[in-house]
Amino acid sequence: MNDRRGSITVDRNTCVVCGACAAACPAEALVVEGLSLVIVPERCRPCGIAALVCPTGALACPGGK
Amino acid sequence: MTVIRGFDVVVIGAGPAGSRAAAQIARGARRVLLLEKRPRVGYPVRCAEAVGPREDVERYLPLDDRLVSSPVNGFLIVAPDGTRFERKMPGIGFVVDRELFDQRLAAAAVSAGAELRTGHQAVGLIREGTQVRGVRVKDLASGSEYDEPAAITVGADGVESLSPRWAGLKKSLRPDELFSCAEELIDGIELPGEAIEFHLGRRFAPGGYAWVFPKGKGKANVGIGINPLQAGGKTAVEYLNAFLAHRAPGGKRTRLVIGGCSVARGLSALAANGFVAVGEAANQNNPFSGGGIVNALEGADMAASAILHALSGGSASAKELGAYTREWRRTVGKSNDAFYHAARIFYGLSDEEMSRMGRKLSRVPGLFDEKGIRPLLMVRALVAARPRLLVQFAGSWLGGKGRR
Ligand SMILES: Cc1cc2nc3c(=O)[nH]c(=O)nc-3n(C[C@H](O)[C@H](O)[C@H](O)COP(=O)(O)OP(=O)(O)OC[C@H]3O[C@@H](n4cnc5c(N)ncnc54)[C@H](O)[C@@H]3O)c2cc1C
Ligand code: SF4
Repeated sequence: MNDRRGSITVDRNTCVVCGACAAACPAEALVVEGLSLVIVPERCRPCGIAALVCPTGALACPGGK
Repeated sequence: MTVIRGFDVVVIGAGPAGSRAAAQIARGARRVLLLEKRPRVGYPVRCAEAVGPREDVERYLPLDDRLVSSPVNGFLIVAPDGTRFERKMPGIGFVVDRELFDQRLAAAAVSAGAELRTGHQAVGLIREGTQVRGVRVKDLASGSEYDEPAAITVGADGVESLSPRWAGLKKSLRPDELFSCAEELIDGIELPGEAIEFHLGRRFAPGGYAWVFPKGKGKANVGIGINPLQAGGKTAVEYLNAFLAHRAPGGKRTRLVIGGCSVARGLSALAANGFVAVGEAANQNNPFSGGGIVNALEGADMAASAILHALSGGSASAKELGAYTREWRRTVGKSNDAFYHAARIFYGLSDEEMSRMGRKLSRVPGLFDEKGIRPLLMVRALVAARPRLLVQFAGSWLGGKGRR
């Protein structure tokens, strides 16, 4: 099950909502709300950083460098 | 909804930094609100749960059998070529139950008079010009938002640390400013006594390290932290699986821990007008090890005393609150700067260089006494600058502050 928003996609079955991506995303496009990961698609640039730091490989950012 | 007004201080995040700051400010007879977005403080755990010696921890929280999973009485570093660098150091630290640890700290804040609201998330800062005047809060159960005005806001929101970004104190972390981490609590692993164990090298943890921290009863936190830029496209979870196959084959996986851990350089300013950042949100983790529990507690005390002073003087300006920045930079911040520079060199070394360093150090007799590293002996023994880094590596996890 994939949520596609802007360029970045998260695999909700793999994501454990650790927040590492939120720490690294320069655009605040990924925010942990309570115990869920919220993506704000219009903020995604995309740069690929969040996908790079994700420990589980849950993020795909095709437009990222 | 009813808006409760009149807090002197709103603290964002009930981790060690936020709970301790809230407790200390409440003890100073100020009205404190402690916001925590999670429904349960301390859960889920995102930590390897190691802390330093008793005297460092008990300044903040008394340790008992429920809090302590295992004492740490030494360390073992395994260099990339397999060279083992081992020291017994009784009393050097503990592996704790981090969930309970955080809950006890939050309970201490509440008994000191702070109001704790779980399930309430800071979603922005209230501003008047450059002055922060409180927090915009979302009640996650109802979805409604409200303003919580306060003279001073404390950003203790951990690695995500959006609030210091809103206050203009920091930017997002670069990929090489955080360890991408994965860990399992393994049941049924062979342990060399009560030592904490580190494995270096690109095979298991490029740009970081792998760890085994004893949890008692044949259990251990077994994990890895990597620099995402050096990981060759593999994830932390993939590196963890490889390390587990090597170090804990057959062990039962009982708790998966995933997270980012800041190893960023310290901030030049920890205070803005009406705002201070503390703990991991303020880049107060040790930038060599990523360890940040006790650092967060130390930072919280420094922040709280500057806040109480500012409140009694009637000014919440960045200038007034800057006493906290200066105190931090004079003490822990100073050693963290050294660790930051050491880390930049150390984690850039090739496997051969790291192994050479390990072999050299394992031949230095009497490098450690019961209190830790003997600096003079170390300097004499290690004329070359680089081997010192392996000692610093152990020291960044263990040992009294004075030895840093
Ligand atoms: C895998 C891993 C292993 C580690 N191992 C160790 C170790 O062995 N020893 C050690 O000393 N350190 C370790 N660390 C680092 C340590 O966990 C942190 O340094 C420590 O938790 C920092 O404490 P803190 O209070 O600053 O932040 P946190 O403990 O992260 O607390 C921040 C709190 O703020 C809440 N929050 C965040 N945003 C908001 C918001 N907008 N509104 C309301 N609440 C919010 C969060 O839910 C959280 O409860 C490890 C880290 C990782 C990832
Ligand atoms: S870093 Fe990965 S696992 Fe962690 S919250 Fe982001 S997408 Fe989920």
